[in-house]
Amino acid sequence: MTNQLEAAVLIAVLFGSGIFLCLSRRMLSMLFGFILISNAANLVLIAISGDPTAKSAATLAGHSPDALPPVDPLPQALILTAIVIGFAVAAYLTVLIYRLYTDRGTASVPTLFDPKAEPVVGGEDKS
Amino acid sequence: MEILLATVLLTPVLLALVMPLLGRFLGAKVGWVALLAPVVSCAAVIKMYGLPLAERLPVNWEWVPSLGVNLTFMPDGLSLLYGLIVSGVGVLVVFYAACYLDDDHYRDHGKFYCYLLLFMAAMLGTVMASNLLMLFVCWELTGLTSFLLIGFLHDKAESQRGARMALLTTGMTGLVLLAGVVLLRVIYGTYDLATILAHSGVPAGSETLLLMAFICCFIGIAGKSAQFPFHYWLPNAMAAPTPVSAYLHSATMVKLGVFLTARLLPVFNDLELWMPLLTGIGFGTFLLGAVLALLSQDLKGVLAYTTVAQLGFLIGYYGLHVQGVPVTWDALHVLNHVFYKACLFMVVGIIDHSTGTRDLRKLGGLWRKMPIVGTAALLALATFAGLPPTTGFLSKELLLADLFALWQSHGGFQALWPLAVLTVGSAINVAVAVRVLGAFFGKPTHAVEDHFHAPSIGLQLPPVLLGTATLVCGVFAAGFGRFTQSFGGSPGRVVGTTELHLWHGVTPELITSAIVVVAGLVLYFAVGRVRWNRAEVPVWLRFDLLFDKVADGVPYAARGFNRAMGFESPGSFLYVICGVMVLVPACFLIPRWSELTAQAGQWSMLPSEPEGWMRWVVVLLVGAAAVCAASWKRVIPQLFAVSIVGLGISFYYVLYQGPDLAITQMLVESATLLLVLLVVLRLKRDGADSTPLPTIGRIRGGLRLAVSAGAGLLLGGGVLVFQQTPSPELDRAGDYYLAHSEAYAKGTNVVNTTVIDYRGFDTMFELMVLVIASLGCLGLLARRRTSGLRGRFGTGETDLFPVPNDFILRMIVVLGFVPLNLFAGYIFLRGHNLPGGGFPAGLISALSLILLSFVLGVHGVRKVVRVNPIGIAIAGVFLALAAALFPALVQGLPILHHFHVYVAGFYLGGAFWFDLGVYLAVVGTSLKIILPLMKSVHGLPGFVEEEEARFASLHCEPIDLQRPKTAGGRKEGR
Repeated sequence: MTNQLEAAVLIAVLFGSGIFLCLSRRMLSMLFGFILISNAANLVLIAISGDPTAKSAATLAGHSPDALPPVDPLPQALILTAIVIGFAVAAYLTVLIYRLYTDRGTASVPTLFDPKAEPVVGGEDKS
Repeated sequence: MEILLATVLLTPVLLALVMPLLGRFLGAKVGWVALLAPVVSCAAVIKMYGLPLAERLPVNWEWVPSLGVNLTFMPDGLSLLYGLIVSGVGVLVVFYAACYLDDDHYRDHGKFYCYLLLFMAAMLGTVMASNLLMLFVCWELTGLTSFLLIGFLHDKAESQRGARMALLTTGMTGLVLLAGVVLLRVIYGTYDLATILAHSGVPAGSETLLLMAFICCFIGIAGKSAQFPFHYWLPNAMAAPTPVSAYLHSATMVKLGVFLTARLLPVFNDLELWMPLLTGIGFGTFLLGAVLALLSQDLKGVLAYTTVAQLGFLIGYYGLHVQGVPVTWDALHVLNHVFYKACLFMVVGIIDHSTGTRDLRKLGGLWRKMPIVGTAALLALATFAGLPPTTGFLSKELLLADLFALWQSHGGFQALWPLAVLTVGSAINVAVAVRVLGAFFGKPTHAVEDHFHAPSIGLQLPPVLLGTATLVCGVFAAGFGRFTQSFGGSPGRVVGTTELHLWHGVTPELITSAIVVVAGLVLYFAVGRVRWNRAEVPVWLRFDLLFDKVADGVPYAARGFNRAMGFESPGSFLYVICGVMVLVPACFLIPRWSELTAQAGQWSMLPSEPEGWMRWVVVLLVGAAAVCAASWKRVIPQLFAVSIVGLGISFYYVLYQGPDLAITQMLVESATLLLVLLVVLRLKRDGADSTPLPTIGRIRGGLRLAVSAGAGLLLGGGVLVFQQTPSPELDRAGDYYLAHSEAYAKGTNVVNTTVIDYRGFDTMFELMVLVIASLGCLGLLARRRTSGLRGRFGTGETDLFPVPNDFILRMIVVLGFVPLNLFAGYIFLRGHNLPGGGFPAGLISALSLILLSFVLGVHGVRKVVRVNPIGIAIAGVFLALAAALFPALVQGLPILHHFHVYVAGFYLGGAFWFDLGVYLAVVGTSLKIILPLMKSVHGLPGFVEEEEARFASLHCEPIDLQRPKTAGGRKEGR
């Protein structure tokens, strides 16, 4: 009834890659995974908001009665909010990774959680 | 009646509440105040006992009527008997405790009496209750208060162990009892005991349920009364102060199991299991307890095991009921045990108090030191051994008579084996009594000589009273018998009519008694005192050790499980989370696979229009970028792949007719790129994690691939399902917004009016989320200085990433700054009617400033923006808040109501101000996140000095996941 298989494919790829990256051992990869997943989540909202084919944007300026019907504005409003909050969370994660790195000298999980490993301070050893 | 009952139950509760306070002022003397409660309760119970049978009416106070839980009390014979025991022994015990717990050796007297009185109230509640749930609640309360009392000397490991064991054992079995109670409710449809007891026989059709209820209740009974296999907790509960042992572990709490057996006897005794289970466990425990008592060396341990034995005796007695032996003399058996066991515990307390030891091997010659206590002990031990003319003799003779009668009427093994067990057990009891008596005779040992100090008269009074009671009641057997019968009947309890006599001729019982005494003496003297002193409980009978192993093993096992599941390392645990996320829905979906595919076959998936194929192109590009991001190993290519994904999605939004989304997505993507790039560059410069990680195993790699593929497929499939137009068509909220946007919100961009007008409440809180995130980032950055890595993170002399000295670049950025912000203003103003608005405009402004900071440095930007960005953000939030509250405060309309103002044809209504708030908040938070991060990444200290005074304390700890205390020090030391 709808012709949006491509949205499902895109979401599957993004979500799969996001989970794959989140299962990585490097913090930065996890961050990338998070960004991909939050994008995928936004896409889910828009993908299930209806087929956009033969519809116009939800802007009524210069709207004549015989023009194309507009798309549903509510999911878009929700996504707008979600994009900005996703940015805030991604920014917080970035700073968190940076902070962990400055404290522990590493940005990878095994080194961070290995009870045996001393906190290795990479730069100091090199200089 | 109601007043009497309230007096009985509430006096201890009310007095208990003031005890801790009084204890602070009075110290040990608070015990004399506490004595008031049992005395009053006891008087009230006696008053009730004095009432004629017709006036003992049930009392009903409503509590939770909807659940059928009422405070119903039924003061029948059984309740009054136990009520009298609890309050009467309570008087003696509190009196004894007031003498026993002096100020020199004990602390927190107020708390002690508080617990003790609460326990007493719970006990009285249990025995008086006529509602099964009420009974259960009180039952558990006794367990809880007994936990507090056993663990009263809570700094001793022994007390902790005993209290834990008692609580877990009685608590767990109590829960099984609850199951039994609920089953009874299922069977009879009520919790009311009187109604349940009024039923006769097994209700048709619920035989199995009744059997289950019986087993559940019996487990509760066995737990509370320390019957096999739960007998281990009682000896360990002896870590309690002696008055507690005398009260809880001889006279009252452990008797609850016996009480409940008597209470539920009419309900269950038609079951075929009744007799074998009760006699088997009861008499079995009797024998086991007697043997263990003989092998123990600690006096309190000996008494605990004899208590276990005697409780088995009582429960076994009820088990005989069905076989034509009416439960006539249970009150006598119970009272007999109360008299001598409480007395013995008090005597042991006195011995402990006077000599400092309870070890049988170290005691001797106490008779010479304290003849009064010795006399009481002698009487109590004679009762225990069942010698005439004490109540113990009466009790044993009566049970023997019952068993002989049973043998004669039924014959066979089922009467013979309890008889044999009783004979052997009683003989062992005689030996135990002789052993305990050994503490009083012979020469005083060193322990006794060295430490002895005489007990006070007050301390000796309660045991002497109890000891005398055994003798007097034994001698005046007829009167005692009439007294035990005078409580009146209760369901299942027959009031005996036979007259008791101490001497009733040479009967088989008497001969057996004589044999028992002789056998006991032979048993003791054949082995001899010296060898008995070497005895100990064999390890395979030490169930308490097993219990400890299990109780300690549970946390270890849980830890092992945690480790096996990888809960302790988040990296592995994520696999579990994601795996479960995939597997659980898969378990539902795979069985219906054919159904799903059949349904999916009806969907037309592929686009019919050319613009649909354009979406496919974007999807392929974005998908390829995402796969690249996932598969590439190096960070910078990964980052660019992720950015391509984000930008591609903004095109996708365009194709989905979401221009606002597209703009915002593009800008957010740029900001994210810059932010992550800052950190990535710094990590690369420091060479952090340049050493490759060890390769992961093939299994783990495959698992990772499988989990992520599964998660992707599930979500994609879910989207396909949700895309299908529901029938009938949904009534969309969006249609309402579309229809009324122009009229109500005076805007034609419906997405924008939805965000800032219709759903302004969401947006307002979203702005707060933004501010909170930026403050969080600030907190993370501002505390960096104290992390002990100061040396390598720059001291301000050098900028790790110096500003490029490129004139053309600088000119482009600086010259572009003003047009960019003008563009932002344009986007902002048109947002109400055309794609745009506060979010994208704010991001454009923020990005222009960030670009500026790349060429001028952070300090250069701060010359342009003189205010603190967080101030801008907070001002934005308040502006949005004000725009939301304005209609409410000024016009008396609901908050977030639209108001429209036009100044010279220019819209300046509520939406405008709200959107301006959004704009300011976005600018402020973006700057506040990126600029400090940039400064920190560049190794500039200015930020820290600037912010530290404002937001962070100087002495905060660094984030440290593994070593909260030592890590900082170790780093400093390097």
